[in-house]
Amino acid sequence: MRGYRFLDHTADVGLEASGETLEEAFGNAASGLFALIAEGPVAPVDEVRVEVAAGDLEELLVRWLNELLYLHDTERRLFSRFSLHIFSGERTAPASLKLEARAFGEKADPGRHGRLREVKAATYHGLRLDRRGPGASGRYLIRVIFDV
Amino acid sequence: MAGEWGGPLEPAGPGKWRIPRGYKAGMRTDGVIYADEKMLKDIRRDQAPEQVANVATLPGIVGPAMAMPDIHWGYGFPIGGVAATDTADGVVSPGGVGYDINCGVRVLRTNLVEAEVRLKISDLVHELFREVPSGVGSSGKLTVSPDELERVLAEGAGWAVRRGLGRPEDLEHAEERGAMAGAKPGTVSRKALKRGHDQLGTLGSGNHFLEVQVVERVYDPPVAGLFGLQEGQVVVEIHSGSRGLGHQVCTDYLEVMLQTVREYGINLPDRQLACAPVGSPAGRDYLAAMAAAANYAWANRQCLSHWVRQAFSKVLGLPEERLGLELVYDVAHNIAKIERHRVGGQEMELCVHRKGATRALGPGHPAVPAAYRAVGQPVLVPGDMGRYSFILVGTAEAEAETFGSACHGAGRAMSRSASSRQVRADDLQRELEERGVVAVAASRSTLAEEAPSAYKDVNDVVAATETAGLARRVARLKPIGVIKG
Repeated sequence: MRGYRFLDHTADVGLEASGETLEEAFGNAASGLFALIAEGPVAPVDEVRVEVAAGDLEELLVRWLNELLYLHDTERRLFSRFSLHIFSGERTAPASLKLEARAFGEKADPGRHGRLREVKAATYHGLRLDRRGPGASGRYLIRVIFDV
Repeated sequence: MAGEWGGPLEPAGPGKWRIPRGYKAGMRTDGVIYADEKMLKDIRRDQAPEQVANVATLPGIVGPAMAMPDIHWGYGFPIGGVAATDTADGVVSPGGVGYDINCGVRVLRTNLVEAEVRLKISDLVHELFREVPSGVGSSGKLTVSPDELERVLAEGAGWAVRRGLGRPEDLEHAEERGAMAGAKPGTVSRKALKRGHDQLGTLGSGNHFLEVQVVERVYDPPVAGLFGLQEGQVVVEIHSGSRGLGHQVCTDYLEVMLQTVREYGINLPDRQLACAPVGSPAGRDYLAAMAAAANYAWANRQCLSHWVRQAFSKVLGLPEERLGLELVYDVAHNIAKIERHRVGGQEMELCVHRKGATRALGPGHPAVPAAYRAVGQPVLVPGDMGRYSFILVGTAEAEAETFGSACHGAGRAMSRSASSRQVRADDLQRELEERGVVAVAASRSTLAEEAPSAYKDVNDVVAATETAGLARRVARLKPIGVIKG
């Protein structure tokens, strides 16, 4: 299972991603974002470290996706695999949540990667992040709309 | 992904529908949607009217929360949204401008008639495609140093003209003369500068375009005459914005304003409406950064115009003087501006947000270029790549009714994914060619997503705008050459 799917939105593009853990759902949302941007296999040969902090999970998610977009727009990077940790507590002060990730991918190669569209940003409109299903077995579900 | 909107739309005059203030808790004013009755069914199809009601909750809003006839579902504000707030006690919202700050349109008029260009249209379109960098992640022919980028942000189109990428008279015919006052490069983040340094002079992708068009019909010959337009004449229309730099400015200040919303205890129905008091440090910094990004966009469209002139000259073998290619006008349709308007007989200073809406000033307004002042400001309304685009003129009614605002385009009728499911890029290209339109796109997916069938008929939009008295039709332009990102 890909862990994400696209949703219709008149002017923009919606994405639904899920995961057994919050980290998996965040990673699947990022995979979905890069599936919107380009087609063709992205080899996980380079590693970039990403850190974002926020006051709540929704904000953390939008910042995470927008940070990846920034890396894409300035360094032409495409990512296909993510290893990330989300934590809270005193270590994260002053923000209450922090995300540390290693994003694996490569620079876009016009010969191998079809560029599909320019994504301007992940938005807060209609953003949803919740847990579905019974108790500890519930899956995390994310809905986010991108401005394209 | 969202159902029909079932709220109230009460008739409120010709082409005008009201969402009463009582519809939703927190609304500080009515919502108003300008549209013809037959458009309402489409408008109710998604949640755009709810977004109008949401905008009506912004602190300090003056007059109704409005939407133009090309209203469609956006994020935060609807596309086509107009909202004015009192600069004394109101807010400014980056979501009321959008990510593509000063996305806008310009039209250049040539001294050529259709027959002179038809024979070479394919060569011309391909040359334009080579000369004007377009497409996803396109970087430009210009890479500007950090110092020079600061000047771009402060000086806008004037920077490009002084660098030889344009004519001094171009500035006479652009909104704000191609540079907004109050831009402070220091309020633009390093990230935004990094995104901007190699994207100046690029068209971008999505709905951005460059079209060679022919004036197909003139509705108002005296006004068209003043705009330098006549039937059969070839014109060029450019639609582009502030590229990654503008996107990052919006992203950055949304994060800032999520904090200010908490600090000032502002309750909002949608986080994407995050805002700050106009006079607060966050509000002032955003407006200064937004103006800088707007200036980047004006410099961008100015650079693109220069390469259009060179491409025409090369392919048609004519000197620029013979070609004309003078700027008719350049409008911003994603912007917030501090403007003075009369409200209830009193002059007020307002922060007017136009998100997918064009400023439309009537006759005599001092901000209209001298050559057009007697009739009003040109309002440029692009349609889809298969049918037509329009040039309208602003009215005194719009100044009284919508703080001088009108529609900005056709508005999407179909999502991008629905359009790509229904349209094959190759078929569309052939179909367009049969209709006399040569289309080239950097990406096949863009072509399919931007198919004419994905858009409403812009004629319905401008007719509704005219019914409501917000602008009047002057000329209709049909495409013969299209470049898509």
